[in-house]
Amino acid sequence: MSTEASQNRLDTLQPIELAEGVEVRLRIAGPLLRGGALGIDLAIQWAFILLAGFILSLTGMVVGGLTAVGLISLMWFFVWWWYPVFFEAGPWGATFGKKILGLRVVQKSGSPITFGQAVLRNFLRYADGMPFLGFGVMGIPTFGFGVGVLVATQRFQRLGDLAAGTVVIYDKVPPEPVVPSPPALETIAPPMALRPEEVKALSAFTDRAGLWSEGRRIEIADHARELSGSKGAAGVTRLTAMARWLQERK
Amino acid sequence: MRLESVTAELRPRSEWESVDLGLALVRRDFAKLSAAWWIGMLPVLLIALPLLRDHPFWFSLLFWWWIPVSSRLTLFKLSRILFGEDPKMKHLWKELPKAIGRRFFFRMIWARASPWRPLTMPVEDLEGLKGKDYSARCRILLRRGDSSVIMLAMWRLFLTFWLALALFFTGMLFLPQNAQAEWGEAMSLWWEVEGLVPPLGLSVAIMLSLCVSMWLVDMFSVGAGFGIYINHRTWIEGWDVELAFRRMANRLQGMAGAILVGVIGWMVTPAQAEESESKVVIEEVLAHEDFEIHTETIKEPEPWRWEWLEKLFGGGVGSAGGTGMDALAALLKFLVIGGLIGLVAWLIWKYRHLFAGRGGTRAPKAQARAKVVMGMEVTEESLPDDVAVAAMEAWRSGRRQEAMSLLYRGAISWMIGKGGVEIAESDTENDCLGRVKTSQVLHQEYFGSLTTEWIRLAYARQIPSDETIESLCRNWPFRERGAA
Repeated sequence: MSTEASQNRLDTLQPIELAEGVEVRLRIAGPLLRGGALGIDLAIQWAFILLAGFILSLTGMVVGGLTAVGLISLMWFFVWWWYPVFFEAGPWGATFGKKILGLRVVQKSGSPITFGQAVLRNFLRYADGMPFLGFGVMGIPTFGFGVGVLVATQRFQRLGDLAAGTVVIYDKVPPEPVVPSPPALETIAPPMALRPEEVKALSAFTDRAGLWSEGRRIEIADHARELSGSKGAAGVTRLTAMARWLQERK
Repeated sequence: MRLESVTAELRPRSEWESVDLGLALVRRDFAKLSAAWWIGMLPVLLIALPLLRDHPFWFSLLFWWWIPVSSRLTLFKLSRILFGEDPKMKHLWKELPKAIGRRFFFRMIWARASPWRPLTMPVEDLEGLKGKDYSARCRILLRRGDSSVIMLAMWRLFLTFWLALALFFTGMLFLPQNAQAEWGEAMSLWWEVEGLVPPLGLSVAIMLSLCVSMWLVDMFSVGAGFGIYINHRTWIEGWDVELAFRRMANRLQGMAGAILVGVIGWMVTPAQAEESESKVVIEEVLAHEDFEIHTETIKEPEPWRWEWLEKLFGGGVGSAGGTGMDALAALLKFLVIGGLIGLVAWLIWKYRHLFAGRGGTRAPKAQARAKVVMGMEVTEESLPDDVAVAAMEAWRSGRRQEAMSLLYRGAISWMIGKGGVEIAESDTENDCLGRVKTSQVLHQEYFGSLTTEWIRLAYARQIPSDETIESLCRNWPFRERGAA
C-alpha cells in the first residue's frame, strides 16, 4: 500500500482496488511502444493480405474471376477487422505485435477482456484513425485522434479503450540488471518494528547497492541512521545485516 | 533539489515506463509547459514574422533551428515542477538569455542534430556540466543502454512529419472547395514543374502545420527524455531508496516524540478519560479515507477461450513467457492452418456439383396471399364490384391516375385470388408480369398491355389516350370475382 505521503504523486502504475480492499497496480503502457506494436501488426496484416490475395487470384484462374474477387474481399475483411479482435479476446490478450513487444490488453480491473470488449475497442480503431490523409474517409488513417486522446488520458487509453473500458499494460518486462552489495557477515534484528515499505526499502538497498559508488552508498545509509544507529561505512554494514535478518526471517 | 517534495513517484522503472512517466509529466502541466516553450520561441517569432513573412520555408527552418532554446525553458519548468517548485513567469524570462547563451556553439551548431538531445540536455542544464565532466556524466547515464533514446529520436522524426501531415489535411477539409482544388493542383504539379511557385497560402499552411507539429513533438520528447534521465539516475543513485529512508527517519523521529507525549499524557490523565478519548481516536481513525469501503462492480469475462486453438498452438500460446520466436512459430502454424482451411473450401467449391441436385426440387411453400403489392391494396374488399365501370367513370371525371390504378389493382387482385399466381408483397411491376407469364393463367396478353400502360403513366407520366382506356375497359376480362 502507498503511504499517506505518496498521494497525488504522478505515477505510471495505476492502482486498482479489488474486492476485500486488495490493491493491485497495473503497469499501463504508453503510446510509443503501442505504436510499435501497431506497426508490426500492420506489417503482418498487409503481408498476409498480399500473399493470400496473390494465391487467391491464382486460384481465380480455376474457379472464376468473380469468385476470386469475392474471396479476396472476404479475406481482407477478416484479416483487417477481425484479426485483432480474435487475438485480443483469445488466450494471449494481445495481437502478434503486442505479444512480441510484451504488451497485453486487459480490463480496467486487470482481468482478461471479453469478446464484446475486443470487438468494441478494435472497431472503434476507425474513429481513432481520424483524420484521414487524402480526401474523405477512404484515405490513410493518421491516428491523430487516437494519439491525442491517448496522451491526454491518465491511463493512456485511446477512444476504443475508453469505450470498451480496457487498458494496455506491460505484460512482460525484461529483467533489469541488479548488482547486490557484498553479503553481510552477521545478522542484526532491527531495533524497532518496520512498516512493509521500509522493509522493502531495506531489501532494495542491499539488492542494488552494487550499482552505486561507495560514497553514494554511505550517503544513502546515513539517511537511515535512526535505524542503524551509526554513520558512515558502519551504517552500511549494519543496514545490510538488518536486511539479511529480515530476509532470513521470511 | 529536494527529494521529499517530488511530485511524481520515483521508482526504478523499465525504459519504456520511464518514457511514459515523462509523457505523463508533460500532460499534467501541459498549459504551463506550453507557455514556457513559446516564451523560448518568442525571439524567432519577433524577428521572423515581420522579416520572413513571405518566405515560409526559411521561417520553418529558423523555427526548427531554434527549438533547443524552447526545449531548455520547458525542461527548466518541468524539472522544477517535479521537485515541488513552480517557477513564475519572471523566472522564465530571466532564464531565457541563459537558455540561448549556454554552450551556444555546442548545442545550437555542433550537436544540433544529436539524437541524444532529450537525455543529454538535463546533464548540461540541470547539473551544469561542461567539457570532460559532461561527456563522462553522459557516458555513465547511458551505461544502462541508449536503445530507448535512439528509438525516441526515430519516433520524434517520424511523428513530426506524420503529425504535420495530419494537421495539414485536417485543415484542408475546412477549406472552401475552389481553394481546395487549387491547392490540390498546385501540390500535384509541385514535383513535375521545375521552379513552380506554389500559392503563398499553401506554403503558409504547410509551414504552420509543421511548426505546430514540431512544438508538440518537441515538448513531449523533452518530457520523455527527462523521464529517461530521472529513471537512469534513480537506478544508479538509488533515489527511491534514499527517499524511503528519509521517510523512515521522519517517522522514527516523530515516533520518539509521540512516545514521550503519550507517556506524559498517561501520567497526568485518569484512566477513565483515557478510555473515552481512545474511542474518539478510534472513530477518527476509522473516519479516515483508508477505511472507506469502495465498491465497484466489475464484469468478469466469460471464460471465452478458443480451446481448440489453444490445443493446436500447444503450450506456446497459453504460456505467458512466450518470446518473439514463439510468436513467429505460432504465426507459421496460423498460416498453415489457414491454408488447410482454404484448401478444404476450395475442394468443396471445385466439387460443388456433387452437392447439387441432392434433395430434389422442393415443392414451393404455400404462401399467404399478398394483400398489399407495391404499396397498393389488392384485396377484393378494397375494390369496387365492377372495376371496369368504376375505372371508366373515374377516367371521364378526369381522375386518370385513379382510373389506371383501379384497373391495375383489379388485375393484380384477380391474378392473386382467381388466377392463383403467387405474387409477393415485395414484387415490382416487372416481377408481377414475369410471374404471370411463367404461370399458366389466362389473359396474359391483356395483363401485359395493361402493365405497359400503367408503368408509362406511373413512372413516365405518359397519359394513355382515351381509346386505349376505352378498349381496356371494354375488354376487361376479370369480371369473374371471388376465389374458386
